[in-house]
Amino acid sequence: MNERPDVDTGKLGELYLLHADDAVRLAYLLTGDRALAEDLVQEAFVRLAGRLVHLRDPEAFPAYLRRTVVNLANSTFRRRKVERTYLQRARSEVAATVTRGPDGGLEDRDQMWQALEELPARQRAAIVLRYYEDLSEATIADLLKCRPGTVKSLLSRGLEGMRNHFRGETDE
Amino acid sequence: MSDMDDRMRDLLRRKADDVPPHRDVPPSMLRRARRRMAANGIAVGAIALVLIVGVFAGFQAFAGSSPPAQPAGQPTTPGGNATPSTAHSPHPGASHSSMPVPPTPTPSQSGSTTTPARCRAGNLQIQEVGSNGAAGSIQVEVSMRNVGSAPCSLEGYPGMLLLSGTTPMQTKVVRGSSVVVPSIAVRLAVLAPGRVAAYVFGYSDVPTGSETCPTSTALEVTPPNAYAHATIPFSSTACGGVLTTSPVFPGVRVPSS
Repeated sequence: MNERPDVDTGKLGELYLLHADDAVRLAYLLTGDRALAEDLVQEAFVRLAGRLVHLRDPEAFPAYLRRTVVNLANSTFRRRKVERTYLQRARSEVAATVTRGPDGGLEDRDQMWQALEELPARQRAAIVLRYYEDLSEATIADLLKCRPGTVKSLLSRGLEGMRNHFRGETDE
Repeated sequence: MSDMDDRMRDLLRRKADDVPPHRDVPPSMLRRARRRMAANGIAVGAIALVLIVGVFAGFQAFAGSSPPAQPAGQPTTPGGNATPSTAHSPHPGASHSSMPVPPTPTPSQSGSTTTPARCRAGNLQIQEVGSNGAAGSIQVEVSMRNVGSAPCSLEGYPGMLLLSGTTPMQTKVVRGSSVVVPSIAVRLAVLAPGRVAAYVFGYSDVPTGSETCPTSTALEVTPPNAYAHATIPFSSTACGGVLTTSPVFPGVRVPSS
């Protein structure tokens, strides 16, 4: 299973082996779900397969792929909004009992991750694209189809939301 | 804030490292990709086909209604004072008062599978049979004799253009009937070699209001569904250049309306 595929896998296969890891990591950070991230990235590659002939500059493929992954993640969040709202509520109820262990709570990193997961999708996407992908606000604005000022707002509100999450954890 | 930024970067990198590296290309993804590429190809092909067919149909429609390529009038509604149409002329300076009406192919009578080809101007001897005047309205009969070696057919209305010398004059051909043109139904005229068909047309030589009645010396006649014309001597003072014409009928005896 772990053997390298033949050259017969074609251009798409080569691109997958080159870029799938980065794309899945990004999708995972955007969604918080590893299986979903794998699915999104495969879907992104399938969608891009029909457009490879139009891709003149191979260097542009990673950006193309990133855009597709972000769009797919946003679409998924839109579809799952109701479901996600329910899950967040359920998770917070569970967290209220789990986060306070005998040592005073989960590790700091897990708390941050949990706080990130509970952010609205666009705030989370802005944070991931800014702090993981190190993209400029203008590029993020282009990806999220909004103005750079909106990106600033999303980042600010996202970080504030995470701080509030910590405060809540600390207060409890 | 800087501390928060660093912690955020550290968190995201560590979480991202949880994702194991990929060493395989999922076969299912490749299959889906191939299907998608095939579907894209089919979609592109279908769109291209639709475009080609559309362009071709548009071109056909345009060519079918284009004045230079249009044969002389084919009837759509026989009888009655009706649709004015302009005679077709190869002369660039011809003055037309209205756009020509696109010909509508009319199915032939029974036995259409054996209907001979339409008569061309080159195979027809076209001449004026005679004219009659009545109270300012003139009736003219024009005959078309098949001088070719094979049978041919005529059906519909002829085209006409008045000339002064070789100069085209304003001409408006009205298909239908008038005081001097009886209402004649459109019918197929099959002309064996040597046989003749004819049509009648009329005009007024009494001006109405500010109407002028210029003098013509010749008439271009285009057989129904033909492209070429024949020019015959024709002295007239058709007011407004209006010629009301009947469709072509077999023989030279004018059918009664």
